[in-house]
Amino acid sequence: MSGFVEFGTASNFSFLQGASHPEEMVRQAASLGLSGLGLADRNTVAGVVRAHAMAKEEGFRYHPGARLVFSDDTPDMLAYPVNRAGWGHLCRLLSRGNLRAEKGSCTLFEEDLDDHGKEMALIVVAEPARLFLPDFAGYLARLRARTGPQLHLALVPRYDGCDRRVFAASMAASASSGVPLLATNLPLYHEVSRRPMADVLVSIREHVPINEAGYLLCANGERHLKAPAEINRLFRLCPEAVRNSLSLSQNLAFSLDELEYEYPDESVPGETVAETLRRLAFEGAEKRYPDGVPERVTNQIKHELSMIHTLEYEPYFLTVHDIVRHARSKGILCQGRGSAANSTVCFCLGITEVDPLLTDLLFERFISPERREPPDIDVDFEHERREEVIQYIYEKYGRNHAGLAASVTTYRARMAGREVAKAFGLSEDVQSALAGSIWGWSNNDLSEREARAAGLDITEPLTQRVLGYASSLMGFPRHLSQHVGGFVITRSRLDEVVPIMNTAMDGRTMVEWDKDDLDHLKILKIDILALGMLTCLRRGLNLLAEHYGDRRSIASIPKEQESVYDMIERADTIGVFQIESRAQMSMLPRLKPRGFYDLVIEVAIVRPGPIQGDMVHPYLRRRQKKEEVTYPKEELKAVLDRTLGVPLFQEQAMKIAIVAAGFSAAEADKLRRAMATFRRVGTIHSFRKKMVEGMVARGYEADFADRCFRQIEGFGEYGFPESHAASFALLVYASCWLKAWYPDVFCAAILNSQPMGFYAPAQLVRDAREHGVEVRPVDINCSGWDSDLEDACFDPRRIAPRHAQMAPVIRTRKAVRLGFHQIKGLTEADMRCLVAARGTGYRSVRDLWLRSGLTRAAIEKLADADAFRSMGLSRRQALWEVRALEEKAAAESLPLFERVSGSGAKDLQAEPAVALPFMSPGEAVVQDYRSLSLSLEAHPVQFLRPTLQQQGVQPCAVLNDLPSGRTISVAGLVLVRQRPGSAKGVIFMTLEDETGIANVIVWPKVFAVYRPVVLGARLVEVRGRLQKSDGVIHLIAAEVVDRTPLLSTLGDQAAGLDVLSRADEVKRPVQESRVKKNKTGEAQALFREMPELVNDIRRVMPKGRNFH
Amino acid sequence: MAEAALAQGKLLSLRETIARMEGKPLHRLEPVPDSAVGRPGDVSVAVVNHDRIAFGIEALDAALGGGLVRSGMAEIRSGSLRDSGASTGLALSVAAFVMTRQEPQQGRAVFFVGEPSVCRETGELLAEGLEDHGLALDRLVYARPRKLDEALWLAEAALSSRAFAVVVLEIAGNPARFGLSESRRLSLKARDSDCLLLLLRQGGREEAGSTIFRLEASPASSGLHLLPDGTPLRGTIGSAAFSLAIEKVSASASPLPSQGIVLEWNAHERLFTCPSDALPAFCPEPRPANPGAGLPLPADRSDRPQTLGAVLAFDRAS
Amino acid sequence: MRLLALDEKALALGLKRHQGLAEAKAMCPQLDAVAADAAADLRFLEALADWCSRYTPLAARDGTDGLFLDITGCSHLFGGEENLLSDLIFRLEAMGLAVGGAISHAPGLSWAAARYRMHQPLESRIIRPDTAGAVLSPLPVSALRLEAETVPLLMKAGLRTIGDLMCLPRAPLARRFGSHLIKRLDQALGREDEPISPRLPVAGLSLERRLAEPVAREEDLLFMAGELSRGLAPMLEERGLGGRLFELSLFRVDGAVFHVHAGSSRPLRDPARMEALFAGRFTALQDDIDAGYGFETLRLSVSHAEPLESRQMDLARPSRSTEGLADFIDQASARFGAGCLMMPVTRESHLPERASAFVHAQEVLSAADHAMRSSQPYRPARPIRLFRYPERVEAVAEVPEGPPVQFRWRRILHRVVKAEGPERIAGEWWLDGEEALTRDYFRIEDEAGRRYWLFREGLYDREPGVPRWFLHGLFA
Repeated sequence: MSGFVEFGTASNFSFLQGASHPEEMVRQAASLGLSGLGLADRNTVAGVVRAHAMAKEEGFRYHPGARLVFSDDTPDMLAYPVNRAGWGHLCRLLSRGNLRAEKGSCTLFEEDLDDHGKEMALIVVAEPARLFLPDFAGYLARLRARTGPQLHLALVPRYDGCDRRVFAASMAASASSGVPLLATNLPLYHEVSRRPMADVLVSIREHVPINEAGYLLCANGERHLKAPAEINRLFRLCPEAVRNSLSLSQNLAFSLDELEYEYPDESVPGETVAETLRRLAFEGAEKRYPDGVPERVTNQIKHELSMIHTLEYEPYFLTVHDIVRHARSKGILCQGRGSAANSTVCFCLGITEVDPLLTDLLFERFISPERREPPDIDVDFEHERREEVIQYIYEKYGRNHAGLAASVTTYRARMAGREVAKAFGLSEDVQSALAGSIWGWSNNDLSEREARAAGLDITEPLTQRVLGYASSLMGFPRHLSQHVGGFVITRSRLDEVVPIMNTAMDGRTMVEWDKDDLDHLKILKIDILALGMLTCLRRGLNLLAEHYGDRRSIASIPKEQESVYDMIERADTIGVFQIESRAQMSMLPRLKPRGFYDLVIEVAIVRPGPIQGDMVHPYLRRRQKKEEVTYPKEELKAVLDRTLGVPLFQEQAMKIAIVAAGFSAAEADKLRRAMATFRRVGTIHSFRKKMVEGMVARGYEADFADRCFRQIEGFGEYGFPESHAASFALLVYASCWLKAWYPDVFCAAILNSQPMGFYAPAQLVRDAREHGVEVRPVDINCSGWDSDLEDACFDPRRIAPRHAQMAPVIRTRKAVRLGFHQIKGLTEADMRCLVAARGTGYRSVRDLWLRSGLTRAAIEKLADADAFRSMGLSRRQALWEVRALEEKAAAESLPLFERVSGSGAKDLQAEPAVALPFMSPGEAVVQDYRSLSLSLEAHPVQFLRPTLQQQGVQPCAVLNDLPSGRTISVAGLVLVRQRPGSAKGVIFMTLEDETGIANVIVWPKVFAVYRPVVLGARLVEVRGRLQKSDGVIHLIAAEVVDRTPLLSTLGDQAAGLDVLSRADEVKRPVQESRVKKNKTGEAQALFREMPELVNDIRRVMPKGRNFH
Repeated sequence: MAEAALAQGKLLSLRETIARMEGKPLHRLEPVPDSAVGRPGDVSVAVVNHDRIAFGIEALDAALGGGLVRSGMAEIRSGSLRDSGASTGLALSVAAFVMTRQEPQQGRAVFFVGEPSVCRETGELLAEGLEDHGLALDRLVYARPRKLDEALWLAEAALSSRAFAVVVLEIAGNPARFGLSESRRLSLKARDSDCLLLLLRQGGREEAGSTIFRLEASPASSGLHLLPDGTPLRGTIGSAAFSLAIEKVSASASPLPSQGIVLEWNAHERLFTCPSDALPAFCPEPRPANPGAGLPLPADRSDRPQTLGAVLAFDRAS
Repeated sequence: MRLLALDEKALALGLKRHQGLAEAKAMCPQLDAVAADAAADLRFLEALADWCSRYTPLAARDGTDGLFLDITGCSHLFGGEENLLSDLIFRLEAMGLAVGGAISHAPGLSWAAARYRMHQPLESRIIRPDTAGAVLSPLPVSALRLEAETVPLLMKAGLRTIGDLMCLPRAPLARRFGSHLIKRLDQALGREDEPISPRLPVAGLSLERRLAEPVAREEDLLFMAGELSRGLAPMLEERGLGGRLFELSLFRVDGAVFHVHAGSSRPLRDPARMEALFAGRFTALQDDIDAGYGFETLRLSVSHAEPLESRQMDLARPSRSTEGLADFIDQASARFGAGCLMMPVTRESHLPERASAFVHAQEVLSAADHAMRSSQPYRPARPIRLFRYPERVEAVAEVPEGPPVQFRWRRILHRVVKAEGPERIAGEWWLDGEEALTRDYFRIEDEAGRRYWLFREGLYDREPGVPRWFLHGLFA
């Protein structure tokens, strides 16, 4: 019974054909006892690295390849490279096919084989119809002459009753043409039970319901991986075909590991790479420490340089350094993040900003000698100027040496549900119901009630079948899209390392492998990321320099200012980077950060890691001195002293593993890597046993060990390295300083960088005015495209009582003039030419129309936004004037009038004066919200205050000074509604009225009763009990009444008022992340006590980012 | 000279009408083939008459006096219901054969009248199978009346509607209600409606009737599949084959052939051929799949299976 | 998917038009939504217009939700305008419709009053010309049937009601909002008249013949049917129609009426063939019709007609085959019922019993398409005869998927000489469930030359239970 190597495998990277993941194929092949596996997906090698990784783990013989599907009538061929050169040819072949076709498809022709068909084994897969053509043997002989002796003919059992004849014909053709036969079962899935899934994929691909697919579906389920014994029985008529598979596997020597070490050549003529790095490092150190480089820093640099030299990573540092230097020379703000912040050399090269003196860095966390894996430096750039950096990289390294990494778009719950429902022929509205019209639907805990709410009967077999197949479809790749910022740079030709393909945007090419693949193969990858906050800070600093003459850079912002920390302590952080969410604002008064390291902790503490390991609560108690600081063992004091004995960071968890559980540095690092890919491969449980036992052996209680490990498990999804938190904390401090000292500059900067952050412009403007900043309306004679500052006198009395203590700190002397960007529907180009043609100002609507060249529609939008006040025209009068203008822009109208307009003569067509009805203030505010989505005049609820007052409804400001436990009712516009999946249906609403905002909690029982009001109402009255603890105020809703009809008294379009902020989940349902279900008691308690913590986890964290 | 030619033409047409009235095969003036004499240089021209379709098989055409009649009644009989596969197959082959020989623009169809008891015993007609056998599905009408007189009415109405080239009437055994008079009446109707009526007697004895000829069909082993390079593959089931025994030919001169003729039906080209004595077949001896020690013990049977020769005692087939 | 219309209960719940269905369902799960069918609504409205012809011949449909009735000169038949209006509204409400109606001298005015004064007492909905201005001014601007985009512009300018418009000078209005606004205003005030284009009903197709003295014998009835067909043919000819379903109504002297229906697979108007159809029907029904004292009136009507272009018959020889076949099928189905003649059809399914079927001949003739099986030369063969229920057989075969070596069917032992297979066909899991057993089909030939189609249900290695053998069909 000889072994067998299956060369015809197709994974689900043959999009909508294969029904199993590459990893599943390799694992099943190993368990079946096959002697090896070859993966050949349709015109792509996107899945080969995942299979390679699994094969290495299982110690299983594996060959990467591709199934070439030609656009002319050439039969399909499986291509397997014999050596590295062969792989280069295969990549060139696929690249040529990808670039020839538009995005997502690949067209190949037979003549491509002539120049890129060498050094690879080709296996012809002939359809039976072609096999029975008379001259097929001749064709095979001719093909063999062209491509060389490595040509084989695939022998495939199809179980259609004619196998014996097909085998006989194949053997005859092979005998006469001299092309050896190769046995394969062309498996599409790893086990028989996946056949229905394969049929579903066919019906999705062909856009036809399953019961009408007929002959498109396979007749049987034989296209699965088969054991050698079964294969030998199937091919008993031609045993040498099976032996050929073994011999072919022997002489395929290529393995993907040969693609390592492809760094671009960065050497400067005259000195070696190491000397260049050393020189740059020490020059940087002098710049960083003008008054002498501390001794500790110099030997840390030497230590790091020696390690970098042993691992030959110098080119990597020089590449990143060069990119950052170029960006800074163009004035683009940028900052390194991630594990790179642990390196002193990076700090000296100016890549990262974390000062080794302030925070102690763990260099091993960035680069460890054992694993020879390229370090991962992520660099954030301003999101508006990132394209310049990308084009610079393309020019410097050339199109065929640099490319963007891919990101595999997989089926999400919403799309999977819709596609499978369509495949089963369900009607349109059931599809949309399944696609997640209900909040946060994830099928595993789809409760009965929610299913019925979507109009589904879960007991009905068809629905269960659809949900079952939808859940297994989730995670299947749909197509390759362009990664946000991951860049691949190689020394040799990129398209000989990995096939490249077009992207949707022209001028960019991307490779077929994603970030994890490139990491696994140790191919150099640099993350060029975009951070909105950097753009906002740069704008702020520019405004500061322009209007206040105070030239500063982020580094030169005065550090550790008491006034800034006072503001942060009061959670007065609306609009500030990272700490503006509800959860953070409720944590700040409890944590009371007083120093930079406290900010680092604040940024890192609201994460699943610390929460899951239940480290947040003890830390807070120790922080508020309610519990004295103890350490389980003396040896941990050095590790945990800065976080009061409670492990919060990834580095600390690793150090604990090393110190307490006796892990070696390598094992600790393997643990960290397992944490990073835990969600996908799930190999972390083997570490749990080792770590807990190690710690118990060393005398720690089991509970502490278990909590430590659960925290590490939590890191798997959103673990936070200390260095990363430190680089973010820098930006947090910078934006807090700007908001504290110059709220006007901060407000203008953040308005110009919208959309960004949590809050709508209305809340940002309101917060600025509460800090005494005068905000002036949009005006055609004063505004530019961006919001700007104008001279004004600062009146401290305007500061709201809550922020009274900020008065001495605020240095504002200017007012904020809103820019035209705030008006919906206007383009920057139009507004630029309006400003250019303004001259000394416009005197009438017609004058504006004649000189600015805008169309009537654009001017009408300006009138809607009440921008003609400087002309003395009210909104209604301006609109009336605008209606009188011709449709087209002035420039195209009659030349005869050119002369007349020059002299500014009055309008030729005299019109009788028209008295338009008066517009009520309420209606004006509503129009403001419609065109500007904010109003400077007043808050809509202000006009309803009299009626509300009669009915006993209090303003929101009253909540601050009422005692906890009182029952009170407030009303306001609904700003945000959030419902975290894990908090068992608790809903958080934020209401806003003219005096302030109220945070409302709606328990599931109450929500079930008032469901339509909570989901549909714009203006809501809530009656409930007040709950206050440590300065955090919540209103527990008992009754929710819909008061939207009241709005229509303001104006008939008022009911349509849309004030919802970006964070609202009804308007933008959030993909429910897999927050672990099996939480222990303490974490549940924590959730109940601080429910907003849970929902914040998802809001704060960008999706799917793993920080190494 | 012209009058003579004219008179000759008139005489000929007179002779034609007489022949048609008596239902005898029409003989043109061409010389009668002298098959007995094999003199070199003598051109033997097959008898060409317009209401006969030659099968292309020498022995059969000769026996049937020129081949298949274009209009009239013929009978195909199978000895027992077990052989209905062969008889139905032959009837359908003949129908397909005739359909391909009629002028295309006539566009006439095939009408098959099934017999309920035969369908219960040997299965219904299968559309995919008919298509494989060479019949055009959009030119086939099928009926399965409950009673025999309904079947007769349908057959007669089909003949008079002139919409069919072939009508196949399936009869189970030798029903009394279908005696000489019905046969006579159907035969005349078929003859003057220019349509071939095939009487398909399933599992019936030989019975006199006014058919032009009567064949007994019985199964014959099939030909072999051919590989692309022409060598037949032993052990495969190729094109269907039937063995015919000609029991009666009404108007033929030569004596009936003693032993049966074996025909192969090529469904693709819709042609009857003689089974060629195949070339040495190329076929790897199908070795048993598990080269282990003989057949493993059947799960639900007693001891080791005896050699296949002896008759095994099986429990009753359900 | 958006909400188009809501009933009172839905409006009370706070749902709005053009709201997303998913959002509405999320707000109240017990919402009952019916798919909107604009075409059906239109047909209903037109039927309503025809129904209104009882009040006035000049009834016209207005847009998708209104009717215009020109009742000049008809109101006196119903005792005055008020009675007519109340009678009309009462009957429509009895049908379950929410109706608003108004009568005035100008269509524009009635349109506005009907829609915006729905809940006012009846008397106020009959408007004299002189009170037109007073009635219109409080109504909102949208009551003037303006274009969709003009209304918001007027709102923005603060012009909410028609009264605001009426008091403004006409020139600036025309310049800003177009002349259409002025035209609609005049139409509402009756200064400009607006014609109504009524709908004409389509007369039915039938012919009646009253006889001098009653007729009882079948031949006479047939003769009369022929006469009526010859009379009906020209009517069909000029409309370019052909009859598919005919109804012969026989009115007996004592008032009883018999209806004889005859259908044809192809639209036809040739009198002889119509008569032949009825001949077939009469022979089938001769005992049901009791002539009694004989029939005094006969009426032949076409209950279902289809377009029939008069094809030019080819000169050489009438290709009567398709006509002949259609005739034969009509004749046979007239005598034995529609289902007696069938034609074979193939469908796209791997399971043999689902892949083939016999369908009524009349349907197949009209529908032209049927699934094309894969046409490669070597596709898996199918038998010519298939048992409706596969018959159990005892077979000896090599495990796991060898062909049968011998099998016993109906107590007769068959020794296998040649075999082909297995052709493996798995169950259709979306119909029969994921556990449906797999079948391995084998084509075998026994020593006598008979060729059978056997299959084993269940696989040794993968499926539960002991696999069983069945005989499914006979090959040629």
